[in-house]
Amino acid sequence: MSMIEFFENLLPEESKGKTLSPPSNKVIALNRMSYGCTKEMINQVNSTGLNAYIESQLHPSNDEGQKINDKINSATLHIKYESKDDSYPALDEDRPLGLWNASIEKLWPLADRKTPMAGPERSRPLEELRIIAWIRAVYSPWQLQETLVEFWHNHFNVNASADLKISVMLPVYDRDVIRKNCMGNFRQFLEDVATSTAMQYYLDNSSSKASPANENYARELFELHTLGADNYFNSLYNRWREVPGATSGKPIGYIDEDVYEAARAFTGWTIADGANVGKGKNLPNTGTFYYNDGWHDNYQKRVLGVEFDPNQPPLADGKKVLDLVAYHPATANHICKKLCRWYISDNPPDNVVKGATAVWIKNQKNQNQIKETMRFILQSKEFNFTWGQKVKRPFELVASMLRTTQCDFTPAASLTGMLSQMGYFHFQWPTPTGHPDKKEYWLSSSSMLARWNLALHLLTNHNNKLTNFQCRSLMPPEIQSSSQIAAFWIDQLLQKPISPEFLNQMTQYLANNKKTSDALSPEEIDKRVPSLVALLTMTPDFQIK
Amino acid sequence: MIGCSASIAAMAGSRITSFGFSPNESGEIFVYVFLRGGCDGLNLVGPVNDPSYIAERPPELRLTDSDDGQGLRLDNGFNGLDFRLHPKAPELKELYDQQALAIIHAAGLTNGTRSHFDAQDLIERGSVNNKNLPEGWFTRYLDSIPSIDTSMMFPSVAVSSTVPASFLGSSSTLAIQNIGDYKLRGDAKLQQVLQNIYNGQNLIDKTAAEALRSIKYINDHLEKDENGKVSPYIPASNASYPDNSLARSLKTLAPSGKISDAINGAFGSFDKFKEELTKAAMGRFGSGWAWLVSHEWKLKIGSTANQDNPMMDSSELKGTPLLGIDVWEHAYYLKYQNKRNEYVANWFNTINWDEAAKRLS
Repeated sequence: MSMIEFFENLLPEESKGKTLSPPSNKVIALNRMSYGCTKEMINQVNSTGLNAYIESQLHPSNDEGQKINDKINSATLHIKYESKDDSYPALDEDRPLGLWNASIEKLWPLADRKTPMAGPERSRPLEELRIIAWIRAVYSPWQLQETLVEFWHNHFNVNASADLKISVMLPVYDRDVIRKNCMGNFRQFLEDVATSTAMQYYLDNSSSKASPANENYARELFELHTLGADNYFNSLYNRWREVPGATSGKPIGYIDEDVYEAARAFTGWTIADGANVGKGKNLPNTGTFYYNDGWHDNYQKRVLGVEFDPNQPPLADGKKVLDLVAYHPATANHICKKLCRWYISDNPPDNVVKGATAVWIKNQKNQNQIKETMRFILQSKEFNFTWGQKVKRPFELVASMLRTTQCDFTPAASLTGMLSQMGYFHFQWPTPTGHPDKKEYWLSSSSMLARWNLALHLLTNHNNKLTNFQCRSLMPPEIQSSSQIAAFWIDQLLQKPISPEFLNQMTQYLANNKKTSDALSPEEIDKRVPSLVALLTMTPDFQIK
Repeated sequence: MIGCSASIAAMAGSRITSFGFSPNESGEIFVYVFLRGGCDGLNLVGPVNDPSYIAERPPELRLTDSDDGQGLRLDNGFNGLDFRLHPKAPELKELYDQQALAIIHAAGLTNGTRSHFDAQDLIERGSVNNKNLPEGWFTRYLDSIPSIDTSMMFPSVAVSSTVPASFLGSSSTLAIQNIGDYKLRGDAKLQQVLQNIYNGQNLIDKTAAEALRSIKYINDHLEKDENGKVSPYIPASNASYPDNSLARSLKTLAPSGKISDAINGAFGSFDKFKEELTKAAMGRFGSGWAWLVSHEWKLKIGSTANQDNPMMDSSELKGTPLLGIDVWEHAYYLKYQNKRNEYVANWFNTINWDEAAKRLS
């Protein structure tokens, strides 16, 4: 025995190697399809059945309910800046939201550096979009849609800090690209991403001209958006015939030559930003996608073993590349695996990935391709039979705290910094990979501490401006003793069977040296219950799913 | 950064991580900075008179021995070549001249991947081809240093909200963003309940337990003023740090390196245990015994006179003896004469921990 083992043995017997018990399959499913399973959702599923609930979630309507409308209409966001010469006066106000759903025409001028404007005015669209993302995650009835929106934002990641043009156009990316396609057809989705202002600037395609083309977008298209790096044969470089399947027109993966050729195919795909294109001509200045034929490399190409003839019509080369990668079986596998990892486990079960891949391929021309794939995943047996393989993402963790406690929630810009302490960079992950979807990434001493402190801040700090937690308003009047109150909140937050020891620990914590059967006064409840509720959200049972 | 994409350039500025730890008792600190994104090594340090270098590189990406791009000459150039540093790096040149800087050039992957992310994953894991290896190169390095008892102290600190991939699989690496604010809010009981609950073998249990343990130790060892407020870190020799993300990381790291020295000697470390027991053995005047006993699930160290032992009602030190060291002169006189300290020091090498554990249960 080593000294370490010797010291470890000093732990009392009953505390060793405790395993957590899972919630019911229903609760597991609801937690995975949402930002936190609530009592209301459980009641709904109890009356209609899980399949009917899944079906309704797969058909979200544009109506997000009165609650959301009220929240958005009453939301304000603080804005403050100093005056600058004669350009603009100082400002310090709480301003209602007006840009999160604004038109391109209204947003684009904010990126024009020639117009004098304070920095906070330019970052307003991004800040507002974050507020809206919070409101939707916490209050939207279409929870599955919201989780898919986050998935696709992460998959087609852009970093709002990389370029002001990305930042001001992010509401358009969110609305007209991500939300529009989140349950739709992948091929269409891919083209909307490729032509979006945000992605065009993020991966530099907007400045890519014939010879040499900028390969950034093309590389990430293969490596991250579609086939995935697992299907990259870097050792073959330019020996395309050696990729298995290539000579019969069906290479199983890609090589560098494919990236270079695809980059040539996307030359001329740019954004109309008023740039001077020579001979006294300027592009229009609308901020929208523009095909500039003068920049396109129109000679023959070969991508994934398929020959492209020279001098194709406008946009044809790029669209053909998008067809090739969107319909490639490796793409189906790569994305279905990511979806299963997101929704089931860090190590998703092979047969669900396989089944989802088949559904994906079968529906590749279907307008509801992603919806059909999601239905398969959500209805698979494995979807809710395992538990505890995933740690809640920070954004999800906070939203689930607010949903299960029914806090009145007023999101503010300060949340972004809190998320970053837990390793989550809201619309600001620096690289095109998006956040890692693995618990090893989310768990560190520092982020664990941040997870705990945030719970205490939101639920027990009465001076915080984000939440108002009225714990007594939820508790039925007949619940009065420490043991009753602890049991009530455990059920409200964890919704699963717990061990007698766990119940005892929570009860003792709440009772704070009083007898556990004694009733607590309203003052004691207001003082102690928020700490108990915070503590419950800090337990592993709440942090994992 | 010419030739790098905008996103790569931004990464180098915003995603710098640095780490440090104290690998041995002399308190040496190892700091590792990983610049994500790109650094054109042959434009930072280049062999200016090498014909291939001149032929293969356009002038704006090449150092020269004359004119505007003239590099800073390094002595000891490899293979008779005139290696030079980029003219914008005179600080590195100064360190090099003081023999405080070594350059290991052109070290990298043998795997020719042109995927930035795969390349970073491989480098951080120290692997040629497995980018999913669940273990970072630093973890393997830590494990290979015998003087580090990774379970009893905090040998490594990452200045980051998350643990970098080079530390994957290391249970002894702390991620700390701001050492002065590394504490849990809420009451003391809450911390106790968390300690009781996070006791399983899952990654989340281990991480949480490590967080709780480190919170306590770090706050016990941070310098505080009379009001209990953590004193701000004042760099030695009034060094001033520039205001950028790399400098901020290094500034966070500096006091944590100093703390790790204190932690080495804190309760829970073998050194401290050794010190206490040695003190008890040396402090017993005349004949007697020094003991490690367990009493109500707590370990205690103490000594008794002559033939007394901790199981006797009359003994001040009470508990079940787990380890006992006989400091009667007859126990060591034949071999050590009057040098009790040497005897005690060597006695630690003879402990049968299995037996001690058996006595505990």
